[in-house]
Amino acid sequence: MPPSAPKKQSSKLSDNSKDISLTKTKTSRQDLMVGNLGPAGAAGDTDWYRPKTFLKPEDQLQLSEADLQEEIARVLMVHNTRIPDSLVEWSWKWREFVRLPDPPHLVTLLNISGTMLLKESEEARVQMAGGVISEFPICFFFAEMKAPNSIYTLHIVAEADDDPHADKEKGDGLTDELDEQEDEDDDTLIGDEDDDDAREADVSADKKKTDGPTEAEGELDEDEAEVARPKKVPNQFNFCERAALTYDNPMRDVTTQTVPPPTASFNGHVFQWIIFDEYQEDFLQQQKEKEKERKVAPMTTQPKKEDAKRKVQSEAMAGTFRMLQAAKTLERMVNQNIFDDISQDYRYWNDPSDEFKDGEGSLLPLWRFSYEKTKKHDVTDMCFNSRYYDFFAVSFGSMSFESTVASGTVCLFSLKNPSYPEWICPIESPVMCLDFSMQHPHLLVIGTMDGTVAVYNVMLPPTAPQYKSNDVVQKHGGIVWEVRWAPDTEEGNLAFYSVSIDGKINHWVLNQNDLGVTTVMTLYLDRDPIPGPDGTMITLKGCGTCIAFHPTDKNIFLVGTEEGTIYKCNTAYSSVYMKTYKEAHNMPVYRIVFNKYNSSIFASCSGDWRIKIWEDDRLEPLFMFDLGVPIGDVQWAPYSSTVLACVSNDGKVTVFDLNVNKYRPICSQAIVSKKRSKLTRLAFNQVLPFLVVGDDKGVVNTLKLSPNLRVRVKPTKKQLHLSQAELESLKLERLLSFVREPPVLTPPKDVAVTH
Amino acid sequence: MTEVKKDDVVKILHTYPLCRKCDMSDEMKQEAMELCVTAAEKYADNYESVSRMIKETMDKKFGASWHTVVGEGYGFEITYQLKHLLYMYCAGNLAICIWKSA
Repeated sequence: MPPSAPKKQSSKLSDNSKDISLTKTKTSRQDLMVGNLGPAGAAGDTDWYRPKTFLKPEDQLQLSEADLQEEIARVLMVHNTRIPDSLVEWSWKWREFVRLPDPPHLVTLLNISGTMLLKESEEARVQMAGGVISEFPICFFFAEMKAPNSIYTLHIVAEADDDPHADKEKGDGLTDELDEQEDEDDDTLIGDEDDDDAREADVSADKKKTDGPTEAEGELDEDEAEVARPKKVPNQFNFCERAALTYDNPMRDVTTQTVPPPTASFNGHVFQWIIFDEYQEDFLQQQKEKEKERKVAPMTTQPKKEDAKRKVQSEAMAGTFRMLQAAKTLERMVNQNIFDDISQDYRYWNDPSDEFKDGEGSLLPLWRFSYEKTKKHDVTDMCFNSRYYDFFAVSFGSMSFESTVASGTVCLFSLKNPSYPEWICPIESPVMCLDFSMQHPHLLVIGTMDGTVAVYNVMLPPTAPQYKSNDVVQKHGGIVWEVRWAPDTEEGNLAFYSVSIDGKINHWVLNQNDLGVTTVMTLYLDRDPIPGPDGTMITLKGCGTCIAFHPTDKNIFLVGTEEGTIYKCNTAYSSVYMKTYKEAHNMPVYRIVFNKYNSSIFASCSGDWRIKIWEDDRLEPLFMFDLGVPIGDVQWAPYSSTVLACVSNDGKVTVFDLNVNKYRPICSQAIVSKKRSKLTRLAFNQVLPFLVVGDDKGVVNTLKLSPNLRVRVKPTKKQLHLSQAELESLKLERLLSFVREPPVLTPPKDVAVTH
Repeated sequence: MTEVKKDDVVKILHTYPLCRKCDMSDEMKQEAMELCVTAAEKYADNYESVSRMIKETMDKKFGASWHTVVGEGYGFEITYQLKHLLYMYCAGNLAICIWKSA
């Protein structure tokens, strides 16, 4: 488009804008023809071109003047023919075509988003408030398109600070004109050739087709006065960029190669005859196998022999128990045959020489009980069963700290079978003590070196204990030296006591599933506390080694300690001693036993070589025997109130009968070799006149007491109505009366036993 | 007489699947043989479809790159991944060889 054309047109439009406001213009045919020659002709106004001569092509249609003068009307319609009407769309909702609203008669020719703001707008106000310098002229330029009327309006607002009023007047006038034109529904373009740049002119020229009006509108900037001292806006173009570059991580290629899966090659040929042949071969093979199966089938119908064998086996299994019983009986019979002479002696032999030895007796060795696996153990305790008098339990453990024995065993022996234990129970810690329950002869309680106590039912296989103290919260802190069954609790539960080297006497109750424990007594020494390694004061505890319960008053018990003190305690008071036999012995007390006939008399033995016999309320012993060697165990005879036996480290069993001799033993007999072994424990049989002694080689010797060692009281004529027990009691009482009276009498001096 | 004998022989035409060589695991072998029989029965007249079905199913079930040859007469020399070969006869006149080679 040549720049001259729009200028002229726009000037013309501005001159007689009212005329052109009609949409109808007149163009002659000549103009149209001229228009064909060039774009300039399209302007439609021929006045300017008349002086010019046009070149005409030779084959142009020759028209007469009249034809040329004929007016052809061109109508410019508001209606844009390019916009489609009757637009429809398929509605899936209604299942039919629905009519769409007509698109707007709007053509966007130019859309420039300016950087300028309308002064009245909010943004402008904010900016002004922020401190725009008001001395510069502010121009607002915006194009507003009013779609329904297809009117393109271009508002050019130009304003200079020096002359705002003139512009405003001019703008007002133009605005009025514009309003009128819009009323007439015309496409108008009002162009105001102001002192602005050429771009505006171009814009107006581009809008020539629709002849839109251009309007310049000036406004007086009245708001400026209000902004007196605007703030300074920070210069948004004054900035600097900062950047940082970090080191790249070095790249490294890592590749691996795996071994390809193993392959093999295979080849073959396929022909119909090969397929056929192989089918035949396979079929034959199958036939053969079928025939074989047929032959095998009748064979398999005779498995009766195997079944019979199985039956026999199962019967044998069922009969195992009976077999065992029979074997046991047979074993006992064999033993009886082997040890026939011993059995005879055990029952019937009495040393005839006793008749001639006044006041002296002897011990006849009978069987030796031992178990192969406990040859290196010490016999730590023995206890006869209350129901079967010839049945006793032996615990194997260790008496010395240097011992390498790390495990223990409990064995039950019967006199009927001296060759092998009836019941063997290996235990991981050396067993130190045990006790059969009187009321429940099948229950055996044991105490071990690691402080555990456990209750076994000897009727069951010795696999697991019925009850076992909890290793974490319940166990004793050291060797359990003695366990004793206690009377049942009020609830009817079984209970037992244990005394340990940690100075505690515990009362254990066999609950439904576990053992309940109560510490009955802690053996605090009545010495001042000594400072411990970390400064705390430690109250010393006595190390309990043995315990004996009063035969009649079940609450009272005696405890012997390593210090040699004997405490008389009551289960009802856990903190005070009823009596303290201070320095009863100078070495650990190994055993305290109450007399079977007089409950106020008890004997104790110790490592200080002495046996002492005490009366309940006397702090001084009634009798004292010094054997010259540590005494491992002492027991009162069950049949006599004045007979007691002890075992000593030199392998001797010593028997006293106070009624016969108050100063010397009536029997002292070496049972085992003095050099090789020493005796540790002793137990009287409750029924028959024999005792068992254990040594430190795991051997239990059975010894029969000769008649002089079991002298019964012969009742006088006055005493005929009295029972044997009363007679025994009287015998002891009479003996004690000699010792006790007068009370000022000093006890007899120690008498060394001559060997 | 000879002709009669021949006829007798011909009458026994076996069509059961006969495995000629297989080093697959039992599970895979059973599945592959079943697949081959099914395919051969389904496309009795189109060996290409048979082989296509076998190959695609085996690819799906046991991983890619199975190869299948189905035909009445051919020769082959293949390299296969161990434990992935089955060569069997089927339907009396069809030899199917499937193997895996990645």
